[in-house]
Amino acid sequence: MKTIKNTLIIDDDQVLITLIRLLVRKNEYFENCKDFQNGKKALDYIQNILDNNQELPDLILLDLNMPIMDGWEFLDILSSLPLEREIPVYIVTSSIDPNDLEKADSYKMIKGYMMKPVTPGKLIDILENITA
Amino acid sequence: MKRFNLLLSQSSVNLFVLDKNLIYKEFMGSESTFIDPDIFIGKSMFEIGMPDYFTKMTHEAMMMALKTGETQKIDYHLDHHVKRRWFSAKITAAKNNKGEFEEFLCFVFDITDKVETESKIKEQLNLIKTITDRIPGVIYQFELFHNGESKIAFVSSGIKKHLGIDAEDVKNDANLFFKYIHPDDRKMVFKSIQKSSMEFSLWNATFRVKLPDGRTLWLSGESLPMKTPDSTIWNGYLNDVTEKIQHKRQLQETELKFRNLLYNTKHIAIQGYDTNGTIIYWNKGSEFFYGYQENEVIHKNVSDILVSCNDIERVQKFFNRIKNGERVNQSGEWEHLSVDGRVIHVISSYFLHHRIDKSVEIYCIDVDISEIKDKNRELQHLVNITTSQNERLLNFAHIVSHNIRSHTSNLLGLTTVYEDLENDNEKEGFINLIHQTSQRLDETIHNLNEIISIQTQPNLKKTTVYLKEYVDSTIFSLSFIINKQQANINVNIDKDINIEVVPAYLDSILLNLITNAIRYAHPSRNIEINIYTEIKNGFLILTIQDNGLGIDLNRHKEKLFKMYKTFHDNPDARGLGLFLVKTQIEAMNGKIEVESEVNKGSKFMIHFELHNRS
Repeated sequence: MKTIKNTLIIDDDQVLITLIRLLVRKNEYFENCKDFQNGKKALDYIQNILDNNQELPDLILLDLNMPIMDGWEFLDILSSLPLEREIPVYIVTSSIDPNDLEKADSYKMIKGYMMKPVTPGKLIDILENITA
Repeated sequence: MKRFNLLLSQSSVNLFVLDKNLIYKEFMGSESTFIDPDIFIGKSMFEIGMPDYFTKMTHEAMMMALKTGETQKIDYHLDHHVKRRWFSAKITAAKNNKGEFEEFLCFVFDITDKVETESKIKEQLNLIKTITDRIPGVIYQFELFHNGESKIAFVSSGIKKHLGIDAEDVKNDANLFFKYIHPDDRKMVFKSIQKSSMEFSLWNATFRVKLPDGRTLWLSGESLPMKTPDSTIWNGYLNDVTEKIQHKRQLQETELKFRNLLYNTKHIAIQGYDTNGTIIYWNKGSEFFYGYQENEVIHKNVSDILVSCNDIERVQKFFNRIKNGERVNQSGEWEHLSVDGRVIHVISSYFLHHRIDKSVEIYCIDVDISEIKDKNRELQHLVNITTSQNERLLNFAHIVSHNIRSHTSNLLGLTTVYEDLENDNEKEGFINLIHQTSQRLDETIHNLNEIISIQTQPNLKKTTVYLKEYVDSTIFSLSFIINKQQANINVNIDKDINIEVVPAYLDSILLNLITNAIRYAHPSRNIEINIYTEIKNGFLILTIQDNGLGIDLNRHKEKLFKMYKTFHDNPDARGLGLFLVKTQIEAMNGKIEVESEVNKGSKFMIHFELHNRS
């Protein structure tokens, strides 16, 4: 199985970040991991990569409900950026709002949904999907 | 005697003389008579071969003349060849000088011409009678003499049929008819006759007659006068027009009734227009609706009177379509202006009246729907509130599930992984996280409870409070932070302004908004907050204006008042304040509006419903 080099976690829930970080650390297929409190901070980071011609992340785990810039707004701006390749995005959420699920289908970037709680098994599913 | 003979020979009289024994003694007659005296002179009247009836009648007359000494008159006819001739004879028993009967003198007049003429006239009269009797109405000849007397020389039998008077009786006494004329009309009739006689003009009149049985009839007549040396004669007719007049009256009455009905209907405005939009009819309802009197608008154009500027083009199109014979809808909604500038919404139904001369008139029947419109607006407002409440409820449900689930799933995640942790350090960190998460779960449930309590108790008791007191007390309770931030707060509220509110909600609203204004201050300026009121559109508006960070409304307008939405990088923000404010003000039938510009500041306008204020 191929490994995932750079993973971005965008979530304002510190507990969740800690949890995912731990799971990722214990999983040999995930190499680096970065986390951001909201969409704005993550976008700034990606913009920086683009400006300096660095390597784009390979996976984004995205929360929807965040202050300053929420997940949807982040996605809207991300899809307008001149990326040389698509970054797979997985929504990590506890929302059961059908509107959110429906809306997620309209974004090509979104490869899947990870309903909380986050478990090692769900992470491996994502890994298999992306590297397949 | 010679002269006497000559006289007789020149007249149409024949004289037969018979003696006591009824023997023809002598004959003197006109030259034109074809009588040959030789046939009967010297013979008895019984033997000359005259018809029996003639002989008998003559004999009887002679005997009577003899007996009474008076001249007897007999009329008879004799058939001479094929032609019948008529005679009239006068028979006298003549006496001699001594006074003794001597002879019979029979003067015989040939009256054939007279009889024939009379019979011809009779025939013609019969014909006239037959004709006039068949003509409906009454044909008559009326003669008015200069001495004031009058006579109905002829009247057809129609008079019997219509008035029940015998034609013959009227001929004898014209007053019989005049007495029938209705007392109220008699003068008029007489005057009209006089006028016709004097001006020698066609007489016509329509008048009533009152019959003995109580019925009243309407008669209408016409006749042409003719002058004679001592009178004026009218030949004319009278018609019974009772039914026609009753019809006409009924029609007039019906017309008047409908006209009045249309005119006086107060709550339905009816106007008539020609195809240019010129007003030709204006009822009371229109007066009531729009405030213009009929005489102020007739002959004016609808565009100059009624139509609001929003409708001018539509109105012109409407009339153009009618002018061009195109179809128009049967009704439409219009915005009209009253004389005092009020907007009146009406539903107008139209109908086109095609006149005999092919011109078209348009009648509009307006029903005022302003009230309905207002009600609709109110209803729409309620629907909007309900919709937004529903939305909020749904939003709330999702938020609840999301928030509670995010914590519980974190707990689940943490406890699942816990087993796999290798060292105690990590485990201790996890216990900390689990504790934090439990605390936040508790907090969330607490918050949600707070919100539910507002949403499930919308009918909390309202009381009237002085707004300024509440604003002042909120500012006082925040004095620590205000002093610390050196915020400058200007309150400009009349101390007498009172509003009907749920005091706890007003507290919460003021606290949230003023706190926000201080919390989201611009780092490079002193905090300046203005709080003031105004009255607009039936609301008392309390404005809280700051010069802080501002909010990008283009991005966040939708989310601004939603739950758990935060917009600044503030770790303390719960995403509840504005949501609570909106929920609370709406629970009091008010609303909140916002204006904001990033880096300039925000302005929150709280609309309190004004109640029964005069």
